[in-house]
Amino acid sequence: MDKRGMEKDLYFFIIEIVFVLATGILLFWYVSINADSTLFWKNYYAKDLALTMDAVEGVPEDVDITFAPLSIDHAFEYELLQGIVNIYAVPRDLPSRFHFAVDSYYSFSNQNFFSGFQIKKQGRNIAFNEQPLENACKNILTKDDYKEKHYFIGSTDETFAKNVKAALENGLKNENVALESYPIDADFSLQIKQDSTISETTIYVNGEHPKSKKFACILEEKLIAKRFSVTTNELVLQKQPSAVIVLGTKDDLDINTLVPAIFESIKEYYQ
Amino acid sequence: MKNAQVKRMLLNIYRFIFLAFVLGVTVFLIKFMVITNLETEAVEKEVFFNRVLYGTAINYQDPVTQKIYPGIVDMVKFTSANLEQHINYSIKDRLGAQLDLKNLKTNETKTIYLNEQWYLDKRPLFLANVQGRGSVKGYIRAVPVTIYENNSHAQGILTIHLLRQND
Repeated sequence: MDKRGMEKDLYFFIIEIVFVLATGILLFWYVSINADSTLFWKNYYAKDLALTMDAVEGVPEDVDITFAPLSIDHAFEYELLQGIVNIYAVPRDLPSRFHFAVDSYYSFSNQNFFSGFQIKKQGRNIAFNEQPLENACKNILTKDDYKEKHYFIGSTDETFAKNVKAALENGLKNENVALESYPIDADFSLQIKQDSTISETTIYVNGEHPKSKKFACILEEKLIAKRFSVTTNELVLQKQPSAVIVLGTKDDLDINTLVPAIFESIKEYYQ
Repeated sequence: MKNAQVKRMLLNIYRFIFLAFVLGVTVFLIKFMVITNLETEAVEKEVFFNRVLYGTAINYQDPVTQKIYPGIVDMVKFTSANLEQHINYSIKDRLGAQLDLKNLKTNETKTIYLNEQWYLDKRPLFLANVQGRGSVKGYIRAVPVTIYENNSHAQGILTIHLLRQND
């Protein structure tokens, strides 16, 4: 074999190696995209919900079913149309669709939900109710979210925020939680405010983020146990899990009751 | 270019074609193994059979109490139009059924359909055992029933033939 021939063989060999490497990287990229995608879950919920509706329509007697999505990271919109179930990832993308048979003698109106809901068939009427927040949040899995242990605690009262941060740092020192100075650095943002125009304390949660709901309903439970008068509302906040506690006039900015409730909630959030 | 060089180049082209083939097969296998779809055929079949056997579509319903009596087929309700009203799919190309009700007293059989045209179109594929995406899978279930007609009862056999489009 002459030298020039060997050189050409070498070029071909290098091109082959580059080709194999590029394909390998593309395959890994494809698999990781699919592993992260919501497509499987959308298909799963579309079929699950459509077949549930099929069964509900077929049951001759009254029936009451709770549709509770499984514990996964993604948020979905569940759309029920006449004979069609559409599942969108949030924010809305292309839906996964599945069909079910309707009974023309039953009344049915189109519905959209962002979390679990109740399907109630009574006589010839099929009604839907959004599940109460405390029931909807239980299945949301956050146990392995170690990466989300960066918290931002903000308040309109800076001294209060500092005190809360100090108390939380002390309470959570064994929990591998970092308190960040800016919301942008945090994975979970918690704002505490006071409003003299409202009487009941309200926790606003990111309605589009199921993890916020989980945190909010744990916190609500803890605050009610500490005799706070609390309600929870949904609000679109930042993209990350976040909650805003607005303290009403019935409750004080008492650090000794509020802070333990917050850090117990943070601890329970990961259980 | 010398003859030997041309030969070597052609040999390398073969290598590339083989490499592309192997990589193509690898891509196909990975795509094949990444699951994005769920097989729910068995559940769909059961839901349908149960809907027909226990639901309001063909069973007798007491006009006063509104109670449904599964297993008592009301001949007034045993029509294709009524079945379509009670089990109404928004798409007509996924599932179809034929219900045969044989009266054991008179030996007469009445047949009704769900998505009749689609069912009749697809039945030859099922009978010919054609496999694949465009074809269908079929299921049959026969149950003894009581036939209620003109205030009298008779024994009968209800046979449900279900065809479902392959995914």
